[in-house]
Amino acid sequence: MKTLIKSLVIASATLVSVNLIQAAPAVVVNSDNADAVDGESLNAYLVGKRKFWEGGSEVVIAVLKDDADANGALEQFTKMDDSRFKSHWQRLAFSGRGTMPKQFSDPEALVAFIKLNKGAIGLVTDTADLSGVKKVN
Amino acid sequence: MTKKHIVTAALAALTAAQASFASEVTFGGFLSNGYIKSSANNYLVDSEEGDFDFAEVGINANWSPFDRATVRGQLFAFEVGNYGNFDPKIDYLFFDYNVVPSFGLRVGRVKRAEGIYTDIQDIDVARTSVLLPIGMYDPRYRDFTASVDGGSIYGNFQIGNHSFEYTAFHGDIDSNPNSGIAAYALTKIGASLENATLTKFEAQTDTGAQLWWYTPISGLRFGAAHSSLDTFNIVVSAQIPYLGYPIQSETLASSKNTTFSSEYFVGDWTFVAEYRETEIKSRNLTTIAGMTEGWGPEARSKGYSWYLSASRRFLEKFEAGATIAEWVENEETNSLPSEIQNDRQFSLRYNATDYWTLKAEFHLLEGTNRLFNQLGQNQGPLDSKWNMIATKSTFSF
Repeated sequence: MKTLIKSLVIASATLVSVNLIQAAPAVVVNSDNADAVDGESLNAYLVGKRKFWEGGSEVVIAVLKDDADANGALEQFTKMDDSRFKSHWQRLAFSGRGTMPKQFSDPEALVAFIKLNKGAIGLVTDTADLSGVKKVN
Repeated sequence: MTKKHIVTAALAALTAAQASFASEVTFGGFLSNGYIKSSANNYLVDSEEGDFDFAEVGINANWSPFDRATVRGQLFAFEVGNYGNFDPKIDYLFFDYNVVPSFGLRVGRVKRAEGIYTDIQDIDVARTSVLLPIGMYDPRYRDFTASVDGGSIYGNFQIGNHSFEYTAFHGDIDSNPNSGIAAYALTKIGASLENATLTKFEAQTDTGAQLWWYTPISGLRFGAAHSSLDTFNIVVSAQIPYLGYPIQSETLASSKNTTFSSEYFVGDWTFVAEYRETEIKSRNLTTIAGMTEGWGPEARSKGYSWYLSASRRFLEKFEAGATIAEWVENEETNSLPSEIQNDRQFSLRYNATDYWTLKAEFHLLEGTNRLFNQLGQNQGPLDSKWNMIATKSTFSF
């Protein structure tokens, strides 16, 4: 019994430590983007209510595909899971009301996209190399 | 400028834009094909025999030429039985200047905003069902209902926890004599005549507005829309049955739509309900064997359609849905099967991959009002109670 309890304690501690070291999502924008981003405006950018930054550049969203942390962050900021988010943007994009978010499998590729596009905003795990982009959350 | 010239110019503009601004032009598109089979009657396609003549393809491009501005366009072609015939058309092509989030302006061929699905009726991946609710959204009318040549204003704003979004549009509408709406007009006007043909079908301007209220309850929104179509001019030439005298019927008509909508996304569930009232005013001039009777008095009719729909996602890649829909062309004659069409619809969707969606559904139908006969596809007698299956495969990118 003692061995069983010990095993459960070790397993629980392992799970907690895994959660603690799990990557947190980062919201990143192009380093030239001077706009302040708070929770409300972040939601407005991600769901297409604001299509341009204050500086005038078109908002282009970049998301990670099949990434649990990034999807969790997306749900936190937009109140939509990844499937609903995709469907929401298909409605906007195919009716001429917005530009479909870019999907990336590789966090480094997403960060590279943000670096190159002045209006880009992306969700990425902060274990990725974020040099050259600006984290806003 | 002919349609061919417009399409060629649009393609050239898109190609030039891609060449000059390859990093800034984004593209998307979709391709779908379906199959419809009914137990009786021919609905949308030659459904009694079973028909794959149910397909659509679209490709769109977006480009931001300077700050706060975008140019957006979509080329589209479709075929639903006798309608569409893969004749390529510019679904929309407009210049969009977003002054502030609460005010933007679009000029060109812009989408009509009316209810939940009018401006996204082609977006198969945005819904569970193959067919949108009968009467309110008819795929044969899509070239007529989808867009106008003119402009629109739009925006969104916040009041406390409540968010609002609006669109208002005005412009000329496509009045193609081979369109589904023309077929419907010919079917109705020529119903009691012989050898009826449509010799004129013109429509002028359409004006409308849509307001959405996003409530503080996450995922719940309500909408109201109104549109005014002014004026149809329809001329049908035919012969009087048995007597054989030539007859010409000219109709001037205008219509107004009022639509109320609600949509609620909660967890894996989606609930949708819409109601639309359509009021038509018309006057008729009849000429028999060269003798004109003069314009008749104004006639008014009011019809309505509504539907309730619920769908749920399950096992990650599946969705199941059920819809109850009713269409009544004229509320004063709603006891006749020829004046109504009701539907009980059960749908299943499977998201095979991120880009490929498969759907199948079953319909229990009552009434024959949406069965057109301008090409003799429903010469009768028609079954007032019938059923139908529909399937669809869609690729989007």
